[in-house]
Amino acid sequence: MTTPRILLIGDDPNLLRTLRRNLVGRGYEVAIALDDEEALSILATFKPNLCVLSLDFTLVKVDALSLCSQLRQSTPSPIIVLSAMSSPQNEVRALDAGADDYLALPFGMEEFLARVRSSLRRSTTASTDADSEQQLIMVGDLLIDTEKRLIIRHSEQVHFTPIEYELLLYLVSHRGKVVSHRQLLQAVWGSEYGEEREYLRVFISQIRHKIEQDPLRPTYILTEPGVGYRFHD
Amino acid sequence: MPSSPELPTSPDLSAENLALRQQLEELTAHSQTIQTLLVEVNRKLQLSSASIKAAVSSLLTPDFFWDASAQHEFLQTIDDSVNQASELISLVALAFQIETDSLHIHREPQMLQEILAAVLDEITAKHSSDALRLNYPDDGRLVLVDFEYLKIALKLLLEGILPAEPRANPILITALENPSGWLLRMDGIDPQVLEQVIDVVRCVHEILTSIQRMQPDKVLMILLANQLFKLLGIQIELADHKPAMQLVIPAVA
Repeated sequence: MTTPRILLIGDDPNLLRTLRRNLVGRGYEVAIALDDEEALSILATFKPNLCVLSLDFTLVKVDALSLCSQLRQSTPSPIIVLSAMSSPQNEVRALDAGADDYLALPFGMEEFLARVRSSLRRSTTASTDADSEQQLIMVGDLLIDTEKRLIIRHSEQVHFTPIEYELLLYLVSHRGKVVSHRQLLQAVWGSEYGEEREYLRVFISQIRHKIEQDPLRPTYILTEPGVGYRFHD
Repeated sequence: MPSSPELPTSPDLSAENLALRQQLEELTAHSQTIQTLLVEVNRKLQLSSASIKAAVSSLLTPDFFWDASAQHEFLQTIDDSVNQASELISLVALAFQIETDSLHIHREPQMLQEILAAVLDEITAKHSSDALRLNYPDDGRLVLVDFEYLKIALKLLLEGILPAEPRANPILITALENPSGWLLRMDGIDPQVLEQVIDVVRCVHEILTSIQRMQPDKVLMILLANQLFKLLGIQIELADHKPAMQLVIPAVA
C-alpha cells in the first residue's frame, strides 16, 4: 500500500508544526497549506487521502467553512475539521459544509491520530468494497450500483459524498431493521465513535433531501425516536 | 422669592437629544467592536492552548520514541505558544481595565527619551534589532505622562504596525520638540497598515472592516494603544508628508 497523504490546512504555525511532526513520525506524507488558495492548489497536485482543516484562521478573510465546501466538491477524500469553537451548531455547520469529522480544540495527540486512522480506514474500506463487490441493489425508485458506488434515482445519477454513500448502503443492507445510532456511527465512522448523534442528524437529513420525495415526511429512511434509523423495507 | 431655573427650549432639547443619540451609537459600535475583537483573540488563545496540549501529549506518548531534534521542536512549540498565550492574556486584561475604567493613570513629568529607550529595548528583544530606529535629541522639555502606560501604549502601537516578517527598511521614529510639546513622527510604515491605523483612530465604526485585512489581535493592540493615548492626552494624526503618522505629546507647562 502506498504511503497515505495528508493535507494540513491552517495558519497557526505552532499547531501545524506539531501535527506534521506526529504524522511524519508515523509514516504519513504531509503537505501544509497556509490559506485557501494554497489549499486548493496543493489539493490538485498532492491528491491527499485525507484533509485536516483548521476552522480557526487568524486572518478573518479566510472563510474556512466555504473552503471546506470547496474541498468537498474537489475531492472525495475525508475531511477532518479542527475548531476551538466547540458547539453543536458549529459542528453541524462544518458537517453541512462537507466535513466528515469534527475535532474540538484542545485535543490530545492520541485522539487526533485515532481520528486520522479511522478516516483513512474508512476511505480505504470504501474503495476496497467498490473493487470487491459487484452488485446492483434496487429499493423503490432507487438503484444502488455498489461496483461503481453510484446512486441512481428516476434514471438520473444522484451525487453522494463518501459518508452519505456509506450510510445509505449500511441502512439499505439492513433494511427493515432498526439500526441504533451507535451501530451506525461505528459502522460508518469507526469503532471510536458512538456519541456523535449530530453527525447522523446532518448526514441523514442530507441523504433525505437527495432521495425522498418530501424530506420532511420520509418514506425511505425512518427515524426511530431515541434509538436510531430504519430503512423501510 | 428665588427665581426658578430657566427651562431649556425645544431646540436646545432636540440638539441635546441628537448629541446623546450619537454618543449612544458610538458607544454601542465601540462595544460591539471590542466584543468581536475579544472573541477573535479568545479563539487565538484557544489555539495557543491547543498547540501546548498537542505538543505535551506528543512528548507523553508512551509508545513512540522521539529523537532529540523532535523533542526540541515540541519544547520550542510549547515555549512559543506559552509566550503567545501570555501576551494575549495581557491584552485581554488591559482591555478589561480600560473598558471598566479601572486603570489608574498617574501623570508626572517624565523624560520622553527614557520612555523611548525602554520601548526600543523591549521591541528589539522580540523583533529583529533592525525593526525600529529611534532618533531623538539628548535633552528637551519634560512630558506630563504616566511612564508605564505611555511605554505600554507605544509598545502596543508598534507591535500592531510592525510586520511579522523582518523588512529591509526599519520603522523610523523621530522625536521633535515644538511649541506645545513633542511630536513623535513615525516613518516607514506600510501604507496599507497606516491606513488601517488611521481607520481605528478616526472611527470605531470602520474597525470591523480593518479586521478583515489585519490580525484581530493587532487591531486590538492599536485600538487599546489609541485609548491609552487618549487617556494620556496624546493625539495620533497623519503627518503632513504621507505616509507617516505622528503623536502629539504635551510637555510640562
